[in-house]
Amino acid sequence: MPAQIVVVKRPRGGLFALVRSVPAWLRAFWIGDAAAPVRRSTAARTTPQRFDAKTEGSAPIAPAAGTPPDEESLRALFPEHAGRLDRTRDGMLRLEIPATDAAAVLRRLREEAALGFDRLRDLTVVDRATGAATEPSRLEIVYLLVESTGGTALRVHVTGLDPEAPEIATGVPLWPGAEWLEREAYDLFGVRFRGHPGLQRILLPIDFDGSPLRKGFFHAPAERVQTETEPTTPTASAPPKGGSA
Amino acid sequence: MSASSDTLPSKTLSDRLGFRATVVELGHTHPTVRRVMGGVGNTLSFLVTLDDDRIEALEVEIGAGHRGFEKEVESRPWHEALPYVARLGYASGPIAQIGYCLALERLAGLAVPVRATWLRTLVCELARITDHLARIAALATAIGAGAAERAVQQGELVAMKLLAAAIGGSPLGEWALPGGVACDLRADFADHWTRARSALEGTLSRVDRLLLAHPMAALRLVDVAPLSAELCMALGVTGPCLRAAGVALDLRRDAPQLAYAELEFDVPIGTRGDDYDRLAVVVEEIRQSLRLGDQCLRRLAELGAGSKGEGASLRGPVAAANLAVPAGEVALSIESSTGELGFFLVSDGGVLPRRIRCRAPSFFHAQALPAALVRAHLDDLLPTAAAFHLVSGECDR
Repeated sequence: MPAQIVVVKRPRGGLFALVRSVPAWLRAFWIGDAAAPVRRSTAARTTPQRFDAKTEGSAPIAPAAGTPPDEESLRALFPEHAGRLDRTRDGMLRLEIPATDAAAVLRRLREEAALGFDRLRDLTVVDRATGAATEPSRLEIVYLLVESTGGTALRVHVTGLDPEAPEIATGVPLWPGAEWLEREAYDLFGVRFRGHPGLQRILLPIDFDGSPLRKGFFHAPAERVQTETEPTTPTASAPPKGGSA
Repeated sequence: MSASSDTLPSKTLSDRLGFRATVVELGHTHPTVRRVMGGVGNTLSFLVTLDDDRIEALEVEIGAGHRGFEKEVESRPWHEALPYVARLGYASGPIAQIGYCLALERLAGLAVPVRATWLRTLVCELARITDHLARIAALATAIGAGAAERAVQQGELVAMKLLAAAIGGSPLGEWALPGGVACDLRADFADHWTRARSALEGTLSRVDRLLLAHPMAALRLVDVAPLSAELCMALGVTGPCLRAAGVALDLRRDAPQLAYAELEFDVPIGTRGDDYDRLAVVVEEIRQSLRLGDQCLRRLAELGAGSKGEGASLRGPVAAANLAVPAGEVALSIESSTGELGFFLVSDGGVLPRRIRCRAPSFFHAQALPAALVRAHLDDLLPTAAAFHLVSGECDR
């Protein structure tokens, strides 16, 4: 029993239709909006400059023609990373790549029409360190890509980041929705995204010190109080923005 | 008064008065923001740059309610994340808990009894109805449709009581558990459902009359804050707001979890992606949820409650305290009332999680809000925020 798609309708009669039949400029006067002769213009107006032609043109809603990407086609596309491609127990494809290749591989995944990974469902970071105070962080950036049809999903794990100052190229030109996700990764893990349009904290206060989701950051209340009262004391993890305001 | 400069045509009133960029902060203590957004947690604030009453730029600020749950749960056993997960939403709390349990069961390889799966499906739909009604009530409040607001609030109360009858208490309690559910439906639930269903149908017909077919909706919702399908996809918008833009993406249909593969329902989509379409899609989804609820109850009656056999069991043999999860990773998304709610769980093989990540739809919707509202009127900010249903718990986590 496949689910049917129904299109919601608008009333064709009554006061609703009568109001809609009044010209826009007249309606604008009616509700006291004289300063704006046309209440709504149409189309492109809603597109801010940042999400311009490049993104819009290369994001098809209908899936690209061809077979959905499978393990074999990905292996053929990235022979140098074929050894790090496998399927996890949730049935999802998982590709592990070093940070040096990340920009090229991600760009290819986005722009290769046959793959159609035009949606970034999620971007997050995992710290693989054990949590000992002296141990440096071992961060791994995880991109969760899906086809527009919701069919195939691919998880890209970027490993081998610099433990002291993790940095990677931004994904915002490829997926505009990455903007806040990268801000969050920067906020909580201290990962810098090169070329990000406005990399600043998003969830924590702007003068917060440290990267709380790293394993080396202890959230015991005593530690927190100490950090708050002495903001210049360096914490176990390197703060992303140097000292504090 | 120099005639030459005065006779030059000015674009707007602000230009003439010299207030080119007025920046207003509509914070969470602002009375109208409180009234509209109160139902979803109300920790967001909006920094609006105005030209007259047109929005030139909009910044949505989140994080005031950040409780750092992803850090907190890393030092606790897996099941202790459930109270935090429930608080991602209020009425939608059970959906988030069910999503988390599904991901954890996949990771730990736990089996779930058939009856528990059907109960979870039913509860997902009841929670969806309640949360959707809360969204409509907020939207009605925002455009000043008082009669519709009160009608929807009555319906919301009915739906909330129905949800409580199904899960035995508050939506923030622990009903969904790893491996099953905590309790069965109340004995008289079928009667309760019949009464509530007709009450909810009455609510929906009043919504049709007082909101969808009302001239006020034609003035305040049609063509307001449209977001194109391309932009929705690029910005990660999901759920009813994406479907309102004409994209038929629904995880219940495309990647069915629970019992959705065996159920019959329609996926409503809009055409223009404006506030009116968002509202119309949500109203239609409530109708579909009622349809799904009927089917779930029929199936649950067939399975039989309290009798012996597979159908009677509600929870597999799990030691919830200190559940040892084998090393591995799982990413799983379900269709919540707000959109695609995803969990990404990483285990080292111990009793403590390595990472629990929640992909919350409202976070993406808050990000997309400025794109929808550029050059719109200030009046349209709150109706649009209500139509997007920006739940604070999901934005801030």
